[in-house]
Amino acid sequence: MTQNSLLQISNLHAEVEGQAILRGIDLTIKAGEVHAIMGPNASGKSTLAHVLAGRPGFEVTQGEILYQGKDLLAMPPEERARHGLFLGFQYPVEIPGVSNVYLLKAAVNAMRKQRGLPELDAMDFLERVSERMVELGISKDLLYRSVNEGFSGGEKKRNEILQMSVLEPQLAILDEIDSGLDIDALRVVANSVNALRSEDRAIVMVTHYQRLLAYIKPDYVHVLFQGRIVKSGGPELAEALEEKGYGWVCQAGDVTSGEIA
Amino acid sequence: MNAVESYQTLYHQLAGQLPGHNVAWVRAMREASLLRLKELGFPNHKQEAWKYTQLQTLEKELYQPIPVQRTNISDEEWQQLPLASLDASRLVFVDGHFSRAMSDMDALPPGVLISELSSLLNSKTNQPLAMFQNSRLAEDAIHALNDAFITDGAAINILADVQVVKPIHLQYISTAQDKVASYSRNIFIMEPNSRAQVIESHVALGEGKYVNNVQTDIHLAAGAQLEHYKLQLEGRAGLHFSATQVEQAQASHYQNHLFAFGSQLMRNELKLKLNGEQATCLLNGLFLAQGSQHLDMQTQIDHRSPACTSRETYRGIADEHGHGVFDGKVKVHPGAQLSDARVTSNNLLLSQGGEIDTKPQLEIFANDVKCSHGATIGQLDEDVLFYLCSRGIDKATARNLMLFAFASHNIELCPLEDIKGAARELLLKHLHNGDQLQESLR
Repeated sequence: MTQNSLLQISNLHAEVEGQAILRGIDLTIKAGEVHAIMGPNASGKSTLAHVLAGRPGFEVTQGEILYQGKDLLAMPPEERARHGLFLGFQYPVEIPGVSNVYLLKAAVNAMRKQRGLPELDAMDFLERVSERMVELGISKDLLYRSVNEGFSGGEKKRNEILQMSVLEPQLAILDEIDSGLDIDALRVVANSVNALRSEDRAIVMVTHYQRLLAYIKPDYVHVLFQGRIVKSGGPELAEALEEKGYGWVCQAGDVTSGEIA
Repeated sequence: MNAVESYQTLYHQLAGQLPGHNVAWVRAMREASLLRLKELGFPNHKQEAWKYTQLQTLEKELYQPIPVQRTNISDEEWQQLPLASLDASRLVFVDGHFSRAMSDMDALPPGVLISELSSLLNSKTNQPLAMFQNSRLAEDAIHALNDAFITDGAAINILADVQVVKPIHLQYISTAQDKVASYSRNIFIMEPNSRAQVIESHVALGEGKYVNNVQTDIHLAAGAQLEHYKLQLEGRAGLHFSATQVEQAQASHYQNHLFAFGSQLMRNELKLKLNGEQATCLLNGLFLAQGSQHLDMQTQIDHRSPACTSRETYRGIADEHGHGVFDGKVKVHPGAQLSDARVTSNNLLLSQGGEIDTKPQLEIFANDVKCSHGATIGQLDEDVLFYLCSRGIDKATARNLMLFAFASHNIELCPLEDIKGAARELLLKHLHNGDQLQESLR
């Protein structure tokens, strides 16, 4: 609860279609940190990511979230984004008719406007994007194609990371960014995420598998189960999970707040 | 006096001012059409083709042609009009009257014969008669009124093997005064293997409740190709009635690209007859019905010969209390084997008060054909909306972006780049807060 916490989640409860999914999450993230949120299927990991981004239909019933000291829940999704919160989607949507380059440019300029910066001109913008594309091994024609339309699973994920690296968010939340990636693509994506690590930003990775964490080493690992964080620790926690499985920390009906580290 | 009688009386008052009043066949045609009007009466909603569109206003109010009001408009006004700077051969009509001063028909290439219809109607030769003889008997009151009151229009004849490079632009300007009607008739004759692009744009300089009634007859000889574009940008209280009939000979190709953003009420009919083998056509339409706009698109494609191909794709958006209608019929006649037809109607219904009625229909009387149709009515995808917002784009802009993307499908089908640009710009201009999107698209 120190001054420099970027994100502070307290007693967060949320439901989707009347069903309680998050049941009391407490989590504090400071700038410069990388957190991994792990857990078995249906534990609420993705819900947490979407609540942070402000997805309609995900209703917060209790608790609060402070982001950069402000009430995050009071902001519409676009405002959260403009304040540097980025969600990398597990299933990025296809948007026929909207080109990738347009989306990127609109997003960058929305952010710059928020910060009182002038809009990037086309040349500067393209230069900035091209560099990132080379790093991510994304072919140039992808820029002028409709957002995610006809992209392979891997291309969609790289495209999310491309957006992230161009937008340079303060808080990046990556929802199962490793799913659907082969090992080479995973390495490339991990490099881009690692390149973004810095003192003034934080990264939250939502993942089912430990595999990703071999490439992007987290400072903290949290295990989510039945809508609560049941265990927190350092990177060694992820290794222990890999060895022993989720059953080791997650036993139905065995959740008490006392277990939160 | 009922409405039909009122129009008959009006005709007798105006007859001396209408073009061709000294030419016997023209007078005979006008008088015959008044009888036809009496026979037909005004359509009502009990007729299948008029189920969704009411015409009471034509019966309640007498809309009438007026003499020439303006022979010129200022440069400033002109620049406000769509395609103002398009390099084109241009015919301009104001309230249905041809304006020589505003038109530009210099340097027509050889083999391109264009003239205003009024001069043909006034000519004593029988040449224009032949054109009208091919024209159909009026099927409804709107057409009959047009026959009776034709003021002017474009007569375009492209000779065999001539490929017209510059588009031909027909600019119809309404001064949009209350109860004024203009009646235009266009005749396009494309001789074998000729090729041209014709653009119609319909605009208003005012806000009154007026009628713009345009009937067009098109003949494509063997191998002829016509790209026909239309921008419907009538005034917000304007009534736009249009019917186009196309006759296609062997291996001819016709494209119709329609963008309907204006008017209070629009009824657009397109009837194609694929008479010769391997004739092909593409009907592409986009309409945006907002406020209390009522936009009714009626199309019929008759496959009358073997191995013809037709493609039709219409997209509509209804918002607020807007009402869009699409009725797309394809008829495959006996013997028209190997016909290949596809009709698609996709629509977005954005409000509780809006309405979309869509009815693609196939009537097939041949057994070896490939025909399909499909229609959808949906809303904006919430997941896409959220995705865009999660990238910092505000909701209104995200929504407009999605509408723009939806409409791009039709805009991109236009071969003519200038039309694509104009259609994009006009769409943004007509969407609420579209200017914000325009800014960010730059």
